This record gives sequence, C-alpha cells and structure tokens, in this order.
Amino acid sequence: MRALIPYRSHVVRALHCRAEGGLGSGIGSWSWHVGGFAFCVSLTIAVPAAAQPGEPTDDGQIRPPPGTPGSTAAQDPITPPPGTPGSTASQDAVAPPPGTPGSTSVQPPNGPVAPVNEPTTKDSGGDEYDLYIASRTYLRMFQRRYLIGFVDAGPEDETLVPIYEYVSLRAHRIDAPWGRDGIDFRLSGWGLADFGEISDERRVTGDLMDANVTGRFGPAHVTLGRQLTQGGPALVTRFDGVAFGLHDEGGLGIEGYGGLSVRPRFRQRREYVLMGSAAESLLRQPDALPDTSATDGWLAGGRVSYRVPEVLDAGASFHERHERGELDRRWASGDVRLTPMDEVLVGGVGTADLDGGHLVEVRGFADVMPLDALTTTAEVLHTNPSLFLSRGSVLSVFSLDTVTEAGGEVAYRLTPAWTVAGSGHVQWFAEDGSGYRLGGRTRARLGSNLVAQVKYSRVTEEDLGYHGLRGSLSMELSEAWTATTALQHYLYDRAIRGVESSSYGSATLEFGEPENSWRLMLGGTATRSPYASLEAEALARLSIDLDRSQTRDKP
Amino acid sequence: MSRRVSVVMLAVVIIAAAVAAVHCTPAATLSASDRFPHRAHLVKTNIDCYTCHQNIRTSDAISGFVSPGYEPCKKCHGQDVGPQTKFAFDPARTYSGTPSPRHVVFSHKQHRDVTAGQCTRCHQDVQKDDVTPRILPDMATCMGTCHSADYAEANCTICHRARDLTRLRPETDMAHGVDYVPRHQTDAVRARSQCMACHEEQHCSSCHDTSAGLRAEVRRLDDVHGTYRHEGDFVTRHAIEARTDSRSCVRCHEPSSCDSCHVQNRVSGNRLGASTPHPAGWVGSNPDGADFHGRAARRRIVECSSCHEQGPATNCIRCHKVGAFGGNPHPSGWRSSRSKANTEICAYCHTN
Repeated sequence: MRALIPYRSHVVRALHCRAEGGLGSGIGSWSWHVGGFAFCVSLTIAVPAAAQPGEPTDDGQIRPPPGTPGSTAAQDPITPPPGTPGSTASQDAVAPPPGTPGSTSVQPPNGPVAPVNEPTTKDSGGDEYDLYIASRTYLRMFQRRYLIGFVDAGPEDETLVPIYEYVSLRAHRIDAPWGRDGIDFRLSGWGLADFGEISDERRVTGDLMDANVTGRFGPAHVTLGRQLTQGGPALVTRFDGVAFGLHDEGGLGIEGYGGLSVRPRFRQRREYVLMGSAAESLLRQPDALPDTSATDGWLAGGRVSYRVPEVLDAGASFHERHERGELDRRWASGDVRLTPMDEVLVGGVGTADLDGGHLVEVRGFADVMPLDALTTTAEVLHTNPSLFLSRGSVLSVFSLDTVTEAGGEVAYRLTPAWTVAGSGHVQWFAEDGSGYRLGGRTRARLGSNLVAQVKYSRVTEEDLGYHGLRGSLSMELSEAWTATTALQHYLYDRAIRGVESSSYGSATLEFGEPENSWRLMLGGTATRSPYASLEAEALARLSIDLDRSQTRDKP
Repeated sequence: MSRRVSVVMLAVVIIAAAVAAVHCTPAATLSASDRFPHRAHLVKTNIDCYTCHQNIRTSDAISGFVSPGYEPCKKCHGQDVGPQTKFAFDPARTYSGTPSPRHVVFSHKQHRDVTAGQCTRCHQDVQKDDVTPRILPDMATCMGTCHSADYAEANCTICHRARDLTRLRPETDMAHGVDYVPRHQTDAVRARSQCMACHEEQHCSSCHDTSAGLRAEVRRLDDVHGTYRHEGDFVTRHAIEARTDSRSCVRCHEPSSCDSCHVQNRVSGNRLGASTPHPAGWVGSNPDGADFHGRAARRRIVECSSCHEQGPATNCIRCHKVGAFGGNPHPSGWRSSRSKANTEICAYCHTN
C-alpha cells in the first residue's frame, strides 16, 4: 500500500495542472495528453517481460485481457452468424450457462466421459498480465441550419470541426509483492480540440475519467484514485478516493467507498454541467446560478450483499453525498434477485430517502421463459421524481407527487434468425393524468451477413405524444468492411412550430481487418425537425486497440 | 411534411420490413432430409469423427473448416455419393457458416487433448436428428464443463476477443433484451464484475456522464440496432420524454444544465430579452385557473427546476416563504431531518 500513496498525489496534482492550463501533463511514469491528437498516446507502464521461450500462442489469435477493453466506442452491431457461440441473432447459438434459464445438458453418445482436469489459468514461471490500450479519435464536422428559438429567431448556419480523443489503458493481473495477479490499473480520459468558425466555441479541453489502481489481497481488494461507483442509491457517481471490497466464498460481500465528488473541471463549456457557456453573459442573473465548484463535495457509501450462486442475489446499499456544505442525498437501497427455477427470475429494488423518510422508488420485475424461444417480463415501478432533486435544491421541498408504472414485454424467437418483441407500459400520476409507452421490434438475420431491425414506439403524456418508427440495417460486406444505415421517423400528435413530424437518417462504413489493431469508420447523419430545416453531420472515427498482454495457452 | 404522407411512409416501411423478414430468413427452412446424418454414422456404424474430418486434429484456426465433402464417403459408399445420388446431403444445411475469428478464439488442436479426442463432448447435438441441430457447441457446453471458473470470473477473453465483447450481447444470463436499458441498473449493482467483463467504465460514462464529450449515440453511430435515450431527433422529443420519465433525466443531468442549453438556444425565459414561456394566468390571484402553475409544479417539479434552479434567486420563494402570500409549498407528508436554522435552503424562506 505504501507504493500506492504517491500515485494518488500524482493524480491530484495532474488534475490541478490541467484545470489551470487545460493542456497535456505528464503523470508519473505514464503520460496522457489532453486533447492530444497523437492517436497512439505515449503510455508506459512497468510490466514484466513478455513472451516466455517455448510458449508461443499456437492459434495465431490475439488473446486479449479478461474484462477489457475498448468497449467505449467501437460498437459493431453486426452479430455473429447463427450457430456461432456469442451470436446475438440466435438464442440457438448462445445457450445459457448451466443453471440459467434455457440451459441444457446432454450426455455424449458414448456414455459418460471421465472428467478432465480444469484448464490451468496460471502456470508457474513468469508473470502473466493483461495490458490493453484503446484509442478512439473522432473528427466531427457538422453544418446545421437552425429554425430555432422564439418566433423572431431566424435561420443560422454553423460549421464546427471538433476533434475528440478518448484513450484508455487497462493493465490487469500484474503480479505484486504480496501475491500473484495482485494489481490492476486503469486510466482513461478524453480531450477535445475545436477549430470551428464560432469564436466562443473554439477551445481545447478534456477531462480525466478514470485513474485508479486496485490491489487484490485474496478475497479483498482496495482501489485508490479516480473511479466510478454505480448502481443502487449511488446511481452513477465519479469520485477521487478509495473503495474496498471483500467477497468470501460463502457468498457474503462487503463494499465501501468514500472520497471527493468529481465534477467536470471545464464546466463552463457547453458539454458540461452548465452547458450555456457561450451564453452566460446572456443570463438575466448569472450570479444566481448555484455554485458548482468541483472541490467542495464529498460522498461515501457501502453495500452488504449475499449470494447463493444461480439462486439468490440480495444486498443493501447506502449512499450519502454532500455538496457546498449541505446534504445533497442520503439514500438507502435494498435489492434482491431470485431464480427459483431455471425458467423464472424475479427481483426488486427499493430506494428510500433517509433525510425525509420518503420512498424514492420501488421496482419489481419477473422474467419468465416458458419456452426456449419465448421470454416474458412483467414489471412495476413506483417512483417519486422530485426526490431525485438534490436536497440542496429549494424546489425539492415543493412536491412529493408519485408516478406508478406497470407493464411488460414479450420476446419470441420465431426462427433461429428472426425475433419479434413487444412491450407496453402504463403510467399513472398521483396528481392526475396518465400516459403510456408501447413498443415493438422485429429483428432478423437475412442471409449470413445482413441484420435488419424495425422498431415502433408510441409515447404519450398529458399534452403531447408521438409515434416513432426506426428501421436499421447492418451488413458485413466482407471480413474487413461493415456498413450500417438507419432511418427514424417521428410523427407528433400535434404540430410543433407548425411541423408534425421529424426524420433522421444515418449511414456508416467501417474498415478494419480482423488481424489489425485499427479500424476506421466514416459516417453521417441528416435530420429534419420542427427545430431545424436541416441538420447534417459527418463523422470519422479511428479506433485503435493495442493488446500487449502476456498470456499463456489456455485451452 | 403532411400527416398523411407520414402515415403512408410508416405503413410502407412496416410492410417492406415484414415482407423482407418473411422471405429472407433461410435459417427458418431447415429440413432434416438434406442434412448429413451424423447420428447414423456416429451411433449406428460407430465410426469416429476423424474418419471424415481428418484435418481437424491439427487445426488451429476457427475458420477454414466447413465440410470434408464427399471424398471420405467414397471409402464406404463407393461412387454412389454426391449431389443427385442416393447418398446426397447439403453441406450448407448441415452446417452453414464458419465462425468468424472476430467472434470466437478457438483451436481444435488445443482442445483435442483436453477432451481425450471425444468430439461429442462439445459437439453434443450431432447425435440428434433435430431439424435445426446445434452442430456447434453452445456456451453452456463450454461453461458447464471446463470453463465454469472462467464464467464465474467473467473471463470472457478465453474464447472471445476483447475488442469484440461489446458486439456480443448476452441472451440468457443478464439477457440484453428489447427493454434492457431501463432495467440494467439491477445488474449493474449486483454483478458489476460481469458488466465489466465486456464494458469498461467508460461505457457507463458515455451515457451517464454528461461531461464526457460526445454523446453515446454519436460515438456509437454504427450501433444502429442499439437502444439509446437520446437517439434520433431527441431535441424535439425531449420535452415529451422528460414529462413521462423526468427521474431518468435527473439521474444524469443537473437541472441547471437544461436551462443553460435553453438560454444558449434562445428558448429560456432566463435569457436577457426573452419573454416568459408560460401562458397567461400562470401566476396571479386565481389559483383555480386552468393554467395556474400550482398543479404543474406539484406534478412536474423537476421540469420547473430546469429553469428555476437558482438558489436564493429562485422566484418561487418570492411568494412561497414564511409570511408571504404564496402559502406553504410543502406537500402533505413532507418532512426533513435537517435543522431549519442551520440549513441554507431552509433559511431562504424560514427567515426567523
């Protein structure tokens, strides 16, 4: 642990440096350049030597790290062919693990087979580790024509050329002085450089999203640095601090965390919490806006859980957060997930505001798979939206009105390559009024390389509603080329600014050989809506995934 | 665009999609008759797999192997094999497609010794005469035997390439079904390690962190089948979505972020020179009026906060403070454990 303490101080110092200057900074033995356009960011981490003599990977495939990687951006919607493990087009292809609904067990034809040894995940000898670096670079150009704002607002054209860079590094299972696989390390951030025509949007900015190191000590782990906590009463919260966890073999788990709240450092930019940076001088009372200082908040929380594998998950969580010296949120939550039989899963989550003793939300659900091809879900939600406001908000004392929502969904796999699904939810507001949401989807694999989907949605509330239709196609043109397109059309119940509908279209083309570490995608969108006569956008994305893992053969 | 044209467009797209789906799903028409009869050969004649699949012993590649063709058949069946003969089968229907190396990392050579050469340990269903046989082993076969520990530890990259993990959506345990996005929080809290096996924390941030630059929908423009909160023309829809599910908005957005965008785009009453967006009768001495703000405030206080979240400058408390004519704004049952004297927001109204 002694070695970890300087690490944190480096992180904090780097953040302050960036907050002041907004440009790149070096951090210890590794460096990250905010808004750096060098796609291969210089990242150095002390890891033991690579391949061991006599132990080549004999299948010629990269074996990337567990729990990795560049999952932040490159989302290839193309699913594997039916019949392929991992296929999403066919449940026939991806059968569930034993003990989950739909699992099967068939004896081999030649009778029971003598058990074989569990595969060895670690071998004696040098360190095995996973080291993965991902970069996503976006070049975004768009030109849009506004017909927005009040009636006297005229059309506007804007052309911006921002470059976004997202980098992440994950190093896992590094041997530590206290044991094998004792250290994990994560680092990620993003930067933006904007060379647009509009002066008040020209900027270089960015932020550090994760920078933490985890030490594993048997069933326990400690994480230090910038990190996320998520789920339950914490929602999704980023903080600089420490988190720990202990999970014993009996199923009991204890987790805790605490630290300083992290808010965007460059919040005056429009992507940030206060998006109206360019317009702050246009506010009637800009000084009246609440202070969102990045350094005056703290949070803490924890969770106790119990698990019986494949049968029960249950837990209780607590989260408290203070901002500007005042209580922001003090919530407690309980959750349970029970699998009484292979075909049934029931669960629920309840969250309470401990400050006022009010129920924030309760959600219950049941999933039933009466057939391999049929999945049904029913759920009920009772919530009090006003309690999601900070306790530091004056408006949080004005309402306790609740909303109850009930509904469900049904998904049926007509064939291994064709699935249809539908859902419906009804809402009741305590004050009065109601609304509903309906949805339907059909998705099919057409041939070996084409996936098509059509979705319909219907949403209503008291004053307005819409019908939405979305069609999408994705096609593997070859092993290297992938193309997608989508069309969306919305029809509103009444005209908005004299327009009754809006339309949106997108198309992408991506190139990337399976054996290469990079992929390039070009895409564009066009939108016509009540607020824009035309909004067109072009986007280029360069994805780089570098795997520098040292992993032995694992049959 | 007129409403009639829109309705026609909707109908055309729906009909076209339905027709395409019905006519273009070859996997739906498998029949047992033209498949190779694995069961007859394995069980009845007791020959082993390597008799026909000779090169599989040393194969390291996931791709490149489909069918041995008719040549091995001739050893037993002579020349009476092949298309249009007595012993004919359709390789494409027996086993259509080759797993892409983009999706699975696998070596038959490595597994040969582990399974003691018994192919049916994994390819269990080749012994069945099902119409739609599972020639390839499913995940349960792998996870239930040798790789159970890998599943428990979410060690997915034993079989999948890390970069491809987010392209493969779970369909059973933590099934990412049609309405999974609104429900994923329950899995996120109970099985975070399973989530992290495919998604790094940036994946959460890309939707939940409004400060992370590009919106998730833009960053994943090619994920055309995915579900996103802000997809398509969200600018127009966002008022509807916010009214039906305002709690989803404030899970990620601070209310002040609404107004800063509205100010920037000239649709906020807080902008200099702007006029109020509220109708006549919104405030005044007639609380029973149809457009009076009280009912809307009780039901949509989160929506109110998108413009009026201004601390002590909030115009609400000009009227709703102790001693003022707006009356007690606290709803029935409202309570707090905080001290009025020592809490800043309480002091705005409770001046004594």
